[in-house]
Amino acid sequence: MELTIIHDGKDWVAFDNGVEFRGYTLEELDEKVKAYVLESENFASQKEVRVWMYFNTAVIPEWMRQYMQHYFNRVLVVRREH
Amino acid sequence: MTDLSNRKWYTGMLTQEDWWAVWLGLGFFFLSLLNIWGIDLVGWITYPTKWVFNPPPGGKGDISKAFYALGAKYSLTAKDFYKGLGWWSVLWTYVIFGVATTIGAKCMKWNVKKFIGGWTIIFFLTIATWFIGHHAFFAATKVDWHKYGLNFALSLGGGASFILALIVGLIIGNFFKGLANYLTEAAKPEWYIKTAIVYLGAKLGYLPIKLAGFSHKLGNVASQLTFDLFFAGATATIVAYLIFWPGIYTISRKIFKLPRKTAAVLGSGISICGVSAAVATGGAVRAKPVVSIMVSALVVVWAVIELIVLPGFFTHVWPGTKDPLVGGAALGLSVKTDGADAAAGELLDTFLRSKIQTETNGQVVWPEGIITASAVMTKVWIDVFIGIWAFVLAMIWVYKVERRPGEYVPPSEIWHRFPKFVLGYFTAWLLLLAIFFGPGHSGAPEGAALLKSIKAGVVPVEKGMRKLFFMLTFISLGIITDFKKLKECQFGKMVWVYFVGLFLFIIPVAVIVAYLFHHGMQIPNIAAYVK
Amino acid sequence: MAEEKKQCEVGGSSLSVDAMETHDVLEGAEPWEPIETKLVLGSFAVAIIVLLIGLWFVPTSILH
Repeated sequence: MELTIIHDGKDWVAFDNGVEFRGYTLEELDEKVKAYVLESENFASQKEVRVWMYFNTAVIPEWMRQYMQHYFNRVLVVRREH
Repeated sequence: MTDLSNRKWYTGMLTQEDWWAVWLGLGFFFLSLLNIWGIDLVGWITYPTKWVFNPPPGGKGDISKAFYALGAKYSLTAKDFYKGLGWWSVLWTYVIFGVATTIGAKCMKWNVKKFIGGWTIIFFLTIATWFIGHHAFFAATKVDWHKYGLNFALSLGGGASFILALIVGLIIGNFFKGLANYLTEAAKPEWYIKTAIVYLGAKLGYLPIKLAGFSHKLGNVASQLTFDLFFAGATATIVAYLIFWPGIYTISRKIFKLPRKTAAVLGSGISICGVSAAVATGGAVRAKPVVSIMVSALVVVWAVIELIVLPGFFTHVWPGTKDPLVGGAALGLSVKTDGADAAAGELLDTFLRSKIQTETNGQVVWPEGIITASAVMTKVWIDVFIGIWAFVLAMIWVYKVERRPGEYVPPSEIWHRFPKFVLGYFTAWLLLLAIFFGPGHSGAPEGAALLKSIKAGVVPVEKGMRKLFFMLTFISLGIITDFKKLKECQFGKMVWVYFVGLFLFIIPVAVIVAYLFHHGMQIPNIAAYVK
Repeated sequence: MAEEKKQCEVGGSSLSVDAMETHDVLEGAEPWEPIETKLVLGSFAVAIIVLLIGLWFVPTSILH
């Protein structure tokens, strides 16, 4: 699964067409993503799901982007216990 | 909101300043190489020369020649055409670079109308300050005073124009905020300096070619010197950074009681690579973007303060003309942001060259640009190193400090944080070096004709285009620097961490490390070969 | 559309310092942990190793 992640000044927000997760901390966000993945039927057959979160650098003010154009990409590995 | 996330390795090739510095830089560099086949498409670039209102009979400084196309002097195949351009070369430069940068702005989805407006104002302000700064009263060195009919001049060399450009920019940025705001779309110091650094790569590669034109031996001395800078710069950078970062981190945590993530971001921001490091480290430790934004706002202001203070200090207090490359390398290690550092290096270069010439009464003349190159070399290494350091920090943070279950740090992060303009810098340098040692026969007579045609093309790039982009950087740096930022109370503590960290820790360590690796390095004397 | 919604939330553009919560950035320092000591000392140690190797190998160092 691939999500775009941003920070809105208060919360971390990860989203894609139709789905959206929020968390004040990344841990909170990850919990919600994990819960979604484990419940979703789309991934029911997969033992392990890699959730890529690409940071949208548009959040960084434009004058700063010329210095560094990348904040982070992270991968959350969600494993099914059984 | 536009999606600017880095999903694939090639993401951003058309949408990031970093890549556009490569395209602008290498584009014109390759264009210049057409001279090998006798086609000169770069000689139009405009360049200033010293002038006075009333030149003495038989002397120099006619105002009608204050700007000329470099091709008038260096072109092998179109000299007459470029001679005819004179002041018109300013307009040629405006249009050609205006079109090139506007294409970049369009691809990066900026507001094109605003960009063209901003570019036009910034370009002509640049030309105006360049012109004024080249009045012989500011620029003529002591040995040349009489040629302009002067008994006294400030002897600042090209440095006068740079200082003037910075002052004009700062006045706009601090007192005419409406105008500054309008200009922001085109006031992109980092983009301009990255482009200039690609041209500097061409300069580095051209240096042996130029000195080989004086004597075969000097050419080899010059190529050796660039290699020495390359290795000394790399080692000094790693050593300095790995001392800086933990030092600032500990100071912020223990003395100023800052939270971990803020301390980590500050550690990188104050350490050496300023805004780029603050963003990279912020991302690595998963700090909220606000941390990076706050640190960056401080970095740009402090970098300009360093740019104002350090070149003068290194020229007149220590190490002066005794160890010019120690001063240069120390700048690279201590001045945050590529723009301010390269600008400071260029200032130091002009100050020291003018000083040595005055001190020795013209017996010692250094080729220009080597001190700038030493300041930029350490910086380029830092820019490369920050990507790796951010990756290491990310692993430590994710796996050890915060131990978030299930999170994995993809190695592609190193590439996404890699400064792409460096590719342009090294390409230009190594390509010219390969030509020098290969078909150029290291400057031996068999290669002379080829090297001469290379010279006709590369000089407009390494001299004209590089200086123009340096000037644009100085002005833009001033425009985006708002000293009031330091007063904003929410920064309170950080301003102090920065002050203490920078002046009591970073700069002294930078000077020591630069000294350890650059002490005794000599710049070749070309006095016997120049008029 | 999720895309459009985001736009409203962050004001259609990037973040700015004025619009953000900044207090927890400067306050609330966590206690110093052993891993931080390790990180700091480890970094210094690598610096010293690189310094020694560098002094030895780089031809322009003061040892030469």
